[in-house]
Amino acid sequence: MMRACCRAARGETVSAPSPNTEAAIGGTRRKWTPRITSLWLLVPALGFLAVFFAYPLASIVLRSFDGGASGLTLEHYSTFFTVPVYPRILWQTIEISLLTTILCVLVGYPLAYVMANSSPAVRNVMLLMVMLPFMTSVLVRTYGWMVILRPTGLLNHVAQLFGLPAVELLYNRPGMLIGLVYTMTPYVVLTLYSVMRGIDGRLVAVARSLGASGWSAFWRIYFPLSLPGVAGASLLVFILSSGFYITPRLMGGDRDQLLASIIAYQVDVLLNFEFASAIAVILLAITLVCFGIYARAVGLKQLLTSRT
Amino acid sequence: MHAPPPTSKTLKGTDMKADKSHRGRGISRRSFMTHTAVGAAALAMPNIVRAQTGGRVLVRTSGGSYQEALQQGTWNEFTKITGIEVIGVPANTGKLLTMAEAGSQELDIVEANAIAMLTLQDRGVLEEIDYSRFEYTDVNDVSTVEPTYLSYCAFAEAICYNTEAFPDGGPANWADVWDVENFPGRRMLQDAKAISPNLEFALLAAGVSKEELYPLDVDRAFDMLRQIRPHVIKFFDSGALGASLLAERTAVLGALWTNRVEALRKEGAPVAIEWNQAMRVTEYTGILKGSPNYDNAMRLIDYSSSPKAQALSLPQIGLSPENIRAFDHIAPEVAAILPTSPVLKDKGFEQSAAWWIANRDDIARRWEEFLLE
Repeated sequence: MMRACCRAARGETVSAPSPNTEAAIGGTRRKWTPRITSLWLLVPALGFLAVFFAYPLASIVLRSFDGGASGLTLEHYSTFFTVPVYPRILWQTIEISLLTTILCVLVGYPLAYVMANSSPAVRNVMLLMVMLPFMTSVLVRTYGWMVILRPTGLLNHVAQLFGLPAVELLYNRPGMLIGLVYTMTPYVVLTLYSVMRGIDGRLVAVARSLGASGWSAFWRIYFPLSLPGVAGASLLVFILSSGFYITPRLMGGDRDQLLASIIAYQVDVLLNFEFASAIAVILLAITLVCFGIYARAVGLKQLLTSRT
Repeated sequence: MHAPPPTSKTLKGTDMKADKSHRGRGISRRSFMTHTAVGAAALAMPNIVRAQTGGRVLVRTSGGSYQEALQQGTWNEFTKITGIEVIGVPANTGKLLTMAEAGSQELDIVEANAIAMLTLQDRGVLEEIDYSRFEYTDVNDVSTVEPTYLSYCAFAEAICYNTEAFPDGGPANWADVWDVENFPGRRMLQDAKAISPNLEFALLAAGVSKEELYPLDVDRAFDMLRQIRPHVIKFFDSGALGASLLAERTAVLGALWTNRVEALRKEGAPVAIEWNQAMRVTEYTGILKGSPNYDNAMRLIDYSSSPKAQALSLPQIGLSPENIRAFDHIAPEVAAILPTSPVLKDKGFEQSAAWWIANRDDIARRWEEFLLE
């Protein structure tokens, strides 16, 4: 039975009656085939997407190949990859996004675990505390952090009172990571929470009753079942961080240049829309590659369902 | 302005020449168009549209206290005289250019620093100004008058410091700002994302005289920046950030726009300006191609360049009027702290917008490389 649970955790079919088997979920349900008329219901949404998403995106992609009088060109892309500074910024963007993702999961996982496995009252309070910052403007929250972290700020003031040395946590990499992790962690918590709520607690109970230690039951049963959630949350945070602008710009150091700030600089100041478009397309490509890896490794279905 | 809702008859009327015959008994095509255009603009900017009588004019500014001062002084007075409402819109040059390219310019007037303005001029988005229609301003009194733009005011970037950090006197020149032994403390300099990086100041610190700055020795300037960098807490990319760095004592000396320092000083912050080797930057104004309220824009440009109008807003925020006769309306003690006052003018120099326009893309790359070092 213990082994069966492990297999269930790995997503294999088990013969033991379990609420999670394919048959219990949808196998017996009659297949619903949409009639052509009901497809019309999609028209407003598709129209909206076409006008406000597909068209602008297509024009950005086109623009990234725009060579002015010489017609279509790859010039902007070759500039990006031949001027050493841009690949370095690209790499730095990936590096910082990965670091943010790892830190967010490390912070968010335990939080989501406690939330999913506590009494409704505690859970609601925790949920509220995770959601509240979500409803505040990211700009306001970032300025809040700046007030706390700046060299003459609250943190150093308190440190001074206790005779501790001053810390430099603003306008540098650690400062930016604090801001990024703080902003992104709720995404991890909420994604993981919904997945963890879908994990059948009886599986862990069964493992315990068969002699597994709490630790072992967690690592061999619960954790594998929560992995699709970890993957989904990581994907979300990585994609959001790789294009994040406000917090890195306000809290980061001068060395922490990311693709988003380069795009803004090209658009706002240098008015080089073509090059900016090329960078934007490259950023989009990274996102799509991550998405592709996720789809292959975990499956997109997992992203849309909270059931394990 | 408040025409009755369009009837199907006028909408279907395809003969546009028949417009005039419609006037008086219905709605003309023109008033319908204005009506819908205003409606569309109202949809786009619901929070700034108010009831108005004499129409309106939209002005791009850099926002903040600058726009506030213009609103309270020059623009209010203009509205009193003409009934035309002036709406300030903080927008970046990228947005202006996008609107121009899309053929849907929402703004009428642009005010921007010389480099940004010359860039817009290069992109061909500025409309010719009809100086023959000027009533309030004698163009001979304005320092720079070009077919598509004229100078509006001047600001300056100078050495600023915290007086509490340097009770025995602050830095006297840029070499002092680079001298970390005699003037210890965290510094702030400007990022390329705000107008331009401080290559000029770096060269002055290296001993180049202000008369021989241009063309800038870029390699040498970056070497100087490399030297001071460990002591620079942040290269600020906006005046607002620069001001907060100084006000919160995150930095105790460096470069900042003098009007920002003045604003802090007025609020009681222990900060001071050293005008020696200050760099003047001219702010230009012009009308955008496709301006929806061209006539109003002409009137506002004319009015805001006049001596009285300039004296109403600019000196209060530490900016020099570019209409020389505006100084007739400014108290001597106020004039003394403006960037182009005779005393201060000789201490400083004017930034060469032409050099920056020619070298900007190159510097942008080098700046990014420098930042990553």
